[in-house]
Amino acid sequence: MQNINKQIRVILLLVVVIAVALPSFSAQACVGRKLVLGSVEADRPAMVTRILSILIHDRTGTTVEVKFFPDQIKLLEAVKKGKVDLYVDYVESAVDRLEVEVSSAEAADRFKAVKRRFEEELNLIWLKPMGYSGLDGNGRSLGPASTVVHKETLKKFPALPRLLEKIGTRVVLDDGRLDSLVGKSRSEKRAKVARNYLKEVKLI
Amino acid sequence: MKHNLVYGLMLLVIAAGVIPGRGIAGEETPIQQVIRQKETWRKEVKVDGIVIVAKGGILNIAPGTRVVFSVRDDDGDGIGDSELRVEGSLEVTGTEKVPVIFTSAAAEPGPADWKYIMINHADSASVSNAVVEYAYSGIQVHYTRGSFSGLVSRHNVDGFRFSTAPVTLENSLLTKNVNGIRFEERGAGAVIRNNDITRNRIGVFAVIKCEGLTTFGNNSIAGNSDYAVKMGMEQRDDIPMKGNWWGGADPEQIREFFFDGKFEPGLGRVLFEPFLTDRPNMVQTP
Repeated sequence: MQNINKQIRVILLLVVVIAVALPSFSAQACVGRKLVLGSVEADRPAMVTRILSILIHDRTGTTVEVKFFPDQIKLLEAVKKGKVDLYVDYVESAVDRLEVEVSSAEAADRFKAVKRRFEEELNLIWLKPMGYSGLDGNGRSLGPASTVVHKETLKKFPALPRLLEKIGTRVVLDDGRLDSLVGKSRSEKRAKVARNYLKEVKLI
Repeated sequence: MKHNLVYGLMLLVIAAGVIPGRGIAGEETPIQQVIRQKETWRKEVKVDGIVIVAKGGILNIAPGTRVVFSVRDDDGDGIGDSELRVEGSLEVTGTEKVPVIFTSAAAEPGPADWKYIMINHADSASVSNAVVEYAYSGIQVHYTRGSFSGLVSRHNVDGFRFSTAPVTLENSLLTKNVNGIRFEERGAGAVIRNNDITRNRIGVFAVIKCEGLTTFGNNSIAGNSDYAVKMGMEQRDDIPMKGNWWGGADPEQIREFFFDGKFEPGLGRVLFEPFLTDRPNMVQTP
């Protein structure tokens, strides 16, 4: 009798697991996957985020949503909470905000120190720099810009680094080019400027 | 104690069956209606939220019916959340002169006003002479054998999207979408013939896992603004697409219409030769 009860319980447990898992499986299979990109509300980061979102959407078919935040600190908070999958951060800004200890003045060393700290403490992966430097509200440099992605996100989207690092390796988005795109976005829609850029450099 | 556990589990099972549909971000979209038996829609039907045709249920939609989806975005992702979800059977029986129309309730409609007609693990699907417009993906089919003809899919993000589904799509017009057709074969070959795929940004988007099982023949895939065919970044296999019209007779010019391995090494190639040198006669769509 006790064995029968045990069997019933196991069967019911299996049914529950299947019943709960099935809707999420079918939703995933049907709707497709979605990525949330975070950006600070400023011209340059918004333009770069639009470029990244179009690149991801057009090359992988993934649905992409962009969320805006007033500053880098609030953006990183959202990233830590898992509300944002990827965003753009800057080496020197990250050194200051997280008080990363790095004595070398070499850009590569400073990037490595930040990358290591983010990976160990925050489970966030810095991809290769894109070619331009971030600027604060007063035009001061925040250091080289990189896309930063959740480790968990990379498990679901393992091809992302290969795609996103095309910017910075196959084409370089330097300060001059980015400023030119931002300038164009004053008279054209940002998405159109971003799409034209990606087509011009043959990434989409 | 044991009984409590058993009852608790049973309650959980029941709860899992009635929990409202969840959007991608976890926000709830109310289920407006679950169709469990045979039902016929006529004239005008409003969908506000999710309508589900459950396993064993049959939804027949009569000629001339207008199915109007309300514009609601419960999870704030910019994609409308009203949808028709089919797990049972869908029979759309429009005629050339009196099609069935699936559209947005917005005064000034746009792509993604509503989500889609989702046919997933369904009993069957047959759609004849219908217009689907202003959705995220007009019709989306997964794990279901279905036939679609006389379809006009326009002003959607994806006009017709399928994955792991041996569907037949024929005599249809896919136009003014971002992607006319978007597909992931995943071992299930489909038949795409006698369609006019034009004035989309991308005519056909082969996202991933397409291994040449799907046959494309006698289609006109011309006049799409970015590419006639685009490979997703992990689409490694070639895609046979011979016997279609690409809008010209010069093979070199036609190759420029493809975002494939010629464009980026590592991607598969579109095998488009021999191709039609004239536009095929297309059946008039509603």
